[in-house]
Amino acid sequence: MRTLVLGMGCILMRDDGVGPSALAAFASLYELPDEVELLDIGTPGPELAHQIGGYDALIVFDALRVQSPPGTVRCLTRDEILAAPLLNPRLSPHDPGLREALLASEFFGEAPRNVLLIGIVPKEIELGTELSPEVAAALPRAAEAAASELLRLGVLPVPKQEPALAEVWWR
Amino acid sequence: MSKRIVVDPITRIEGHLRIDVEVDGGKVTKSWSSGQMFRGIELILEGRDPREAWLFAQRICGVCTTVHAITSVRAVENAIGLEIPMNAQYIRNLILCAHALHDHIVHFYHLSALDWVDVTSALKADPAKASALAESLSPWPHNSTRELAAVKAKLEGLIASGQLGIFTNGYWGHPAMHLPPEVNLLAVSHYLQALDYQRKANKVVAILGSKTPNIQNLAVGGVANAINLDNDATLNMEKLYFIKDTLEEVKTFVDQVYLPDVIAIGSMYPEWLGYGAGVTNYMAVPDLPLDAKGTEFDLPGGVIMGGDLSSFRPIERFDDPLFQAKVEESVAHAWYEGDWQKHPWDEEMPKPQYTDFQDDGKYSWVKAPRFEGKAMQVGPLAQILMGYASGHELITKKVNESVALASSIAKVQIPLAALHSTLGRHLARAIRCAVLAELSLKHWGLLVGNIAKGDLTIWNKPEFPKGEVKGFGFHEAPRGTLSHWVVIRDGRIANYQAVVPSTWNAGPRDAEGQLGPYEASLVGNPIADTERPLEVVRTIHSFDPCLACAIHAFDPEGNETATVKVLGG
Repeated sequence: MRTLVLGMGCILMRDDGVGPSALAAFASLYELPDEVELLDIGTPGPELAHQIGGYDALIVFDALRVQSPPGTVRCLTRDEILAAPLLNPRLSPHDPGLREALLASEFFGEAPRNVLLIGIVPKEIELGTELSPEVAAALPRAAEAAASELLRLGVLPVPKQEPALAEVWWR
Repeated sequence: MSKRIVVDPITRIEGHLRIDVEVDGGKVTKSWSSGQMFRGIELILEGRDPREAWLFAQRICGVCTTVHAITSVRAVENAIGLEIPMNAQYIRNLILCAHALHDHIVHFYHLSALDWVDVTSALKADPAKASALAESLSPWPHNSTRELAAVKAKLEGLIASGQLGIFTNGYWGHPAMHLPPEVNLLAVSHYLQALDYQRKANKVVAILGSKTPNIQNLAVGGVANAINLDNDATLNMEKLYFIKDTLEEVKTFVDQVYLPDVIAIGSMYPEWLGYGAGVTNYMAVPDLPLDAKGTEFDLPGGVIMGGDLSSFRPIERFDDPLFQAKVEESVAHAWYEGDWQKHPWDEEMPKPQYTDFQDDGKYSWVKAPRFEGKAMQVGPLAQILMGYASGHELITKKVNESVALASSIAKVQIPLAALHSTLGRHLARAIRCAVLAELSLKHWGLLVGNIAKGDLTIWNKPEFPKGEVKGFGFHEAPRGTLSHWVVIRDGRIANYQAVVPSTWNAGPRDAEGQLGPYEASLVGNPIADTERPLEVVRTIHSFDPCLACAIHAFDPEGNETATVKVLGG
């Protein structure tokens, strides 16, 4: 089960960078087999479609804009991601197109069969490298959600003996 | 009676850019470009160690990570007068070439070809006829009837499923689309093949940069790629030959597919050689340095004013005094307090002053960069024109060959001046891609030759003096001239500005009312259908916009907003 785990978002914009932070937390809490690859992808454009191709499974950590308290972790399946209005333009720039990337990847004939978005609701999206306390507190829960998804896929993430959240270089 | 059209957003996949046009008598009479660009890097970097600035700077944009990283180390090296080893120069050059090959291929096939290619029309194509046509244009081996029939079947499958998938958003059947079905089928086939070749180019970035996006191998003073030809863990012969083979494969694709496709498709839309010139002041910076100091380059830089190639003035060095002195940014029509125009070293974090969209006032978050007070167009077209004006051998040859081939397909003599146009920007990008493919192999040879001489040096140690030093670094990125400006005080960053290509092109008016390049390029464009302003999209996409790259959050509700609003009239 070749699996790609992505951390998406901008580490210079506080809680928008929760994806890369969650990815780092996940890597620091679990030992992972070689078939699982981790990538801090930042804020990609079309490259997203090209990066996800060829994997059996995709897990994405990202900020999620929903009406829930900051730090809420909510998972969306492939069908839920694709059910959102397609290519619907908006005034906000908050969408580089995970939906579009999945659809492009399908047309290219290499889309991952299993897709899970692990969304964390942000509080402050503004200049800075620190997460808000509520969002920082959600990192272990987000990592656990990714571990559960791997288990469901038949991949075994092993919790580390002495788990400790790693410091990330940008803070 | 004039109508106003608001197109928002215009980039198919990336960030947010809003274009407003007024249309009268079927043509654009007025236009405004409004957007968001990452701002405030100076706040993130203030007080930090200049040796780590590049790690943060490459996060400004997720598409342009590599180019910000390299420009940042160049800026700091410029500030302290540090030369870098030739191995480091060549390795950086290879990364720049490979990144640009990847970026240009993606831009044409995956972000803008479908402005010209009607996917639904490809269903009517005869694969055998399409194959015969392709063979008359190019020796590319993957244009067989069998391969094209397979692509057609794939499209038929998509349509039969009742969903257009990734193609849902296209302006299919638009009156301004008029390629024959066979050409549309060929283009869709190459759209699929382009996926592999852009990925190969990106693989070279990943090998040399350790990772992509966000390369890890840079350092102020050089690179961190240890060289030992016999060690698996370092840059060795096996990796070097893999890079060479990969670059050769990409070069074949560019020479036999990308460039001929742009020429062929362009020749079938000759009217678009007459629209979209806009600002014909051009600027490019020299790149692919050939010495440690940055005084000799393989790609030419300079400025041309008013579309007159005889006005060419060179930008020649990493410490070029003309470039250093003449760049400024204006906030007269941007949502910041005041109407100042300042040199990047003198800029402070501007105070936001949001006013709603005011046609004659402030209407964008993007500042308006100026050179000698003039709006300048940047991008591959600018660099190709610098090459032509300065007699650059490789560029001149590729331009002449391309224009001759386009003329023979269009059956009309196309003048060089036709490059000042929407399609000219696409052609120039494809030509630049072919030039880079060739130069990437040259720089591979230079690197291997230097290593063979026994030089394994990759880094010179930076020293930061007490007191204040200032520097700037530039790079001719895929979207044009990128510059970073740094002030360092007692070894710590005191100020930092990035003046990015899409700011030069997408910026608003300045205090004198001069339009930015996007704005000027739209005036005079025909609009066949105000509900579906394909023509606006064509001209804007020809610049390869990259804006609002700085945030990302998934929104499952998808806030409802119309793509195109037609007001008045």
